[in-house]
Amino acid sequence: MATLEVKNLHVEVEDEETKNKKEILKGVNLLMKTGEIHAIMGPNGTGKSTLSQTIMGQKNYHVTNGDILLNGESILDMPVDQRARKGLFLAMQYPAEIQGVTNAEFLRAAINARRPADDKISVMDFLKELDKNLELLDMSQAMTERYLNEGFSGGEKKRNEILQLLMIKPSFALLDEIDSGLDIDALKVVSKGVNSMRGDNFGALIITHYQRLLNYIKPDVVHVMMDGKIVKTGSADLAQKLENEGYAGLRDELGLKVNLVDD
Amino acid sequence: MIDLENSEYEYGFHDDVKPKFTTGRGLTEETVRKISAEKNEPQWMLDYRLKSYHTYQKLAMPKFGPDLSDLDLENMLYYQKMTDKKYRDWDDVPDKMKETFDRLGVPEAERKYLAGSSAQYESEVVYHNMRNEFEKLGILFTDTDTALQEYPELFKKWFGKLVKPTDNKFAALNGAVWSGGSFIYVPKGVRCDIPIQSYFRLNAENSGQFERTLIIVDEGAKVDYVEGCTAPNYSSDSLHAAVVEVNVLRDAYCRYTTIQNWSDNVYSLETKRAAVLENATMEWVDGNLGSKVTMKYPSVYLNGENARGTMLSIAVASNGIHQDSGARMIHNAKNTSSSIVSKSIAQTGGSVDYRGTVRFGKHSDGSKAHVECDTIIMDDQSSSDTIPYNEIDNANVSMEHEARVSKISEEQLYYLMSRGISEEKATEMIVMGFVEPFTKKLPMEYAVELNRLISYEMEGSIG
Amino acid sequence: MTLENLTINEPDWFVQKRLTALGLADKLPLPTMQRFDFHNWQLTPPTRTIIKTNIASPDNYILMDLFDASNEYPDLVQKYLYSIIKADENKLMAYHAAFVNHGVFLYVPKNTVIEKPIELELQQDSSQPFVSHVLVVAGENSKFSLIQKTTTKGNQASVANCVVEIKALTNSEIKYAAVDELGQNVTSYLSRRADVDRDAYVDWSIGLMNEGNTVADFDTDLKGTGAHSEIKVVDITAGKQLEGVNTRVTNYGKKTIGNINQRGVITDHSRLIFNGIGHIIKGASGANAEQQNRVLMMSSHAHGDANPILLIDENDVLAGHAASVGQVDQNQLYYLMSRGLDKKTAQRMVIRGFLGDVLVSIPSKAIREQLVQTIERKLANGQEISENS
Repeated sequence: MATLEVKNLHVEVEDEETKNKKEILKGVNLLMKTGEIHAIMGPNGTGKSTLSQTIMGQKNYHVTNGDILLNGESILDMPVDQRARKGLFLAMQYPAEIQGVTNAEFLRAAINARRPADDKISVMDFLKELDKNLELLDMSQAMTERYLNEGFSGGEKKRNEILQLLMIKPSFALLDEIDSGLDIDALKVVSKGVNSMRGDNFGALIITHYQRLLNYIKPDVVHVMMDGKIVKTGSADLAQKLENEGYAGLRDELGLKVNLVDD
Repeated sequence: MIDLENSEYEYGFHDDVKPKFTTGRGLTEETVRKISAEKNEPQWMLDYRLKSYHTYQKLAMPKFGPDLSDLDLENMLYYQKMTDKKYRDWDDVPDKMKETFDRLGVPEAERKYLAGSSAQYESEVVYHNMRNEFEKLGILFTDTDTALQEYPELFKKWFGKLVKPTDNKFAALNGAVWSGGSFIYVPKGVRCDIPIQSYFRLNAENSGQFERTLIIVDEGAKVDYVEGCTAPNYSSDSLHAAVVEVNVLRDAYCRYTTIQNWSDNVYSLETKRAAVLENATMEWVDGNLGSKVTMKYPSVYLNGENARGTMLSIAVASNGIHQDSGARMIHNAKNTSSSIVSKSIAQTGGSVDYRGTVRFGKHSDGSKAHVECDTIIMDDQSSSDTIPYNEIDNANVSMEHEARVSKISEEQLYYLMSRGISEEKATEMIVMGFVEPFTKKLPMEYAVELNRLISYEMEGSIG
Repeated sequence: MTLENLTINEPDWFVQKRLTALGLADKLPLPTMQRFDFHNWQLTPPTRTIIKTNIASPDNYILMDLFDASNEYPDLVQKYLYSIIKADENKLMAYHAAFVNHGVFLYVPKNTVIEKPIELELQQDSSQPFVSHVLVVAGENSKFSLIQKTTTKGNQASVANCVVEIKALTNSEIKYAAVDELGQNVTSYLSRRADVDRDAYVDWSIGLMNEGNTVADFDTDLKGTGAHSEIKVVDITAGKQLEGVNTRVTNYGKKTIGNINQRGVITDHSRLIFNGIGHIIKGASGANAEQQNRVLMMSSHAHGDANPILLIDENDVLAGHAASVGQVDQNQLYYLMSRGLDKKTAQRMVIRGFLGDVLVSIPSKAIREQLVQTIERKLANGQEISENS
């Protein structure tokens, strides 16, 4: 069993325009184990994406306090690729587009990065695995020969993130709003992909605004985040409750003084 | 005996072949006369050489671009003939030269995928051959000196029509001392789908190579020509000043691919020009990986209606290298179109410039041009200039030009690294992707070779 | 050449500047402009009299005749005059410094915000050369708009040499708009340059509507960290006009932003050379330089050049340029004509849209409308001539 632990995490970002530093995460605590699916919900601008990007190691997010531990080892000083090879995966909200590099070529490089130099994945094994996952995600073969994310529609990009997840098989996946911009059929396909990963060796943290995605990927634990902190943790029912009452309802119930965007 | 002087540039070895004839160091009118006499040339060619020589003396060095002040023209070897004859069988080529070309993979490439192949060593072509099936179609492929002797009328009709000695100082120099190069004539309607290759090798220290290439693609014909260039590493500089003239007649097609990988003591100052008639197409594919200084702006004169011209280029400049290259598209007829795509990478202190011209003349109604220049500057030691000129004398034309210069994208790096790929590998992937539009145009074997070379160039550029 | 009556009433230091420049004028070369040759233009006739500017001086900043200011505020004027564009840069600047006969000094003290645009209407009298100097100093944290309109009185052949120097001190914000409408027989040299300090912002909007031959140099030096400039230039050439325009931004400071947007409409037998130069100096990390050079060719007798040049000596940058040459957008034309507009009117409207970026950023409605009228007039003339030729 692997663990991912976030301890009293404080994170600052610098505003590009004003150059002011702003604290986004104000003491987040979270413990995940493989075999579990966690969901983080919360209103816009509350720090959910910041959490996932900080765990992955995006440079613009500065940890000012606290720690992130993977199997008890701090990963704060590790570069991004090392964190990835240690078992983390972030399905991004806005994946980068890279011309000239085909999807298939990229996937092989990512898989081989996890294997010893003298034991590259064979072309046959790779294609077998790829075809299986393409079918699962209802993606065409042609997608693998296109340049990485270049000219992909929103839905294609999300599917492609999940395809990578299935090919790379990390211990922990952070799924940042994989439901945004998806129609209902695509949402089902993407969920099917994630669900196929479920098992003792896989854990996921699902970031979403809406409860809808959680109808398809049942979480074991639901966290609610507001103003840079996790304010409530519960079972799958919590998501349903939020759907019914909204974030304002929960805020008032907890007696928090937090501005929600639409107030 | 092969001497690996410099392990970083893998073609940097040289061998100790003694020339059969040389004009010695330096250039005088006497040198020019000696070259012509050695080659047994007709009077008109000697006159042409002498006229070029006098023009060369009058013209100033280029007033733009890289610094040429270190170029020592006084002590250069202008002509060196290494064999008494040209061979058609690799087994006949003297051992040392054959060894060199074997190491460069030239005979192997020929066996695998070429219609014809030639190899120039210093001033003269030492080997050339063409497969029988293509020879039977009437394609003439020989070195330029032989063409002057064997096809005097055809030669005189086309030689020097596109590039005049007055064009620039190094074109004039080439006119005076030219030697070697390829001559290709593809008869009407003959389509040669397999590439023909020439390989240019400079071996001696402080020497010059002045090949002269002349290609005529007759009406409806097609040719795909590839040239490669390498040289040994030396501490003193060598000069490569080629002139290339390509005539693409009605409905014909020519693709001219160059993989320039000179060692970093070679000045490569070339003049390349193509004239294209009705419905014909000229494609330049130009890879500049080596040299100390490159100045090269291949041009296409679109002289017939619906003529097309393209340039697809990459340039990589590392420490001590200044690549100043680009293209010139001159629209002289109706409904002509041109496209320039230039990809440049500057790293470890290299300078890479794009310099080009698109001109629409008075009679270019309905013509179009598209220019794209992209540059990645890998580190804070390197630099890049983009200098395009767009000159328009017609109201019924359209031109789009775009250029971008930036460092390697942080966003792309992060994305690839977040999938576990190391920074070095991720950088290489992004760079390979960046030049992919170019490699995709190369014959397969060249693409593989080029990827290897770039990958090699990029090594150590991280951290 | 002598300075004759120019120096009466001028402080010694000012006269000294003239004399030094006079000594240089014959020695220095003309400024160079890529692809544009004007070496045989007559651009340096001596001036004889000072043309005074009468402006009612406001309370919270200085706006006055430059020669008066050199007596009244000698320290300020001496400090900034020719500090941005040096008198020894080239022949035309040396000539300018020796023979300057018209000038305006604008000094906005620190923390001063002026809401209403400051308007400067200059008229050149074609009976004599016009050597005009506008010196603008924006104090720290100041904020204001300046509109300069320059026209010609009379039809005699004459020369205009107009220089604008702008010093933007820390965190100041200046909107500078110019409408140049010098007459058909005026040969002009325009040189405008801003020196932009830390976090300061200079916004240029220039409507180049001269009817005579023109050489123009518009420069911005982004010196301080975070300095920012937007440069918009629109230009219409007509008749047999020759015009060369160099618009240059140099990023010296870190995180500086410099954007150039040039639009040219070339009609009749005119020639327009548009050079855009983005230069990023080593050390200017995080700099941003974008430029657009767009040209509409309205006549096959015309000649246009759109040369966007990038000179980059630093890697941590985002730089780009785009250039295009084409005709009036046919879709837009079709759309307007489908609403019943005749072709010529529709064409002029599409062109106005093409020039729109600069038009909307001119802060005075009155001047904006005048500029629109000028554009309409120039285009209508161009259409007329193109049709008859």
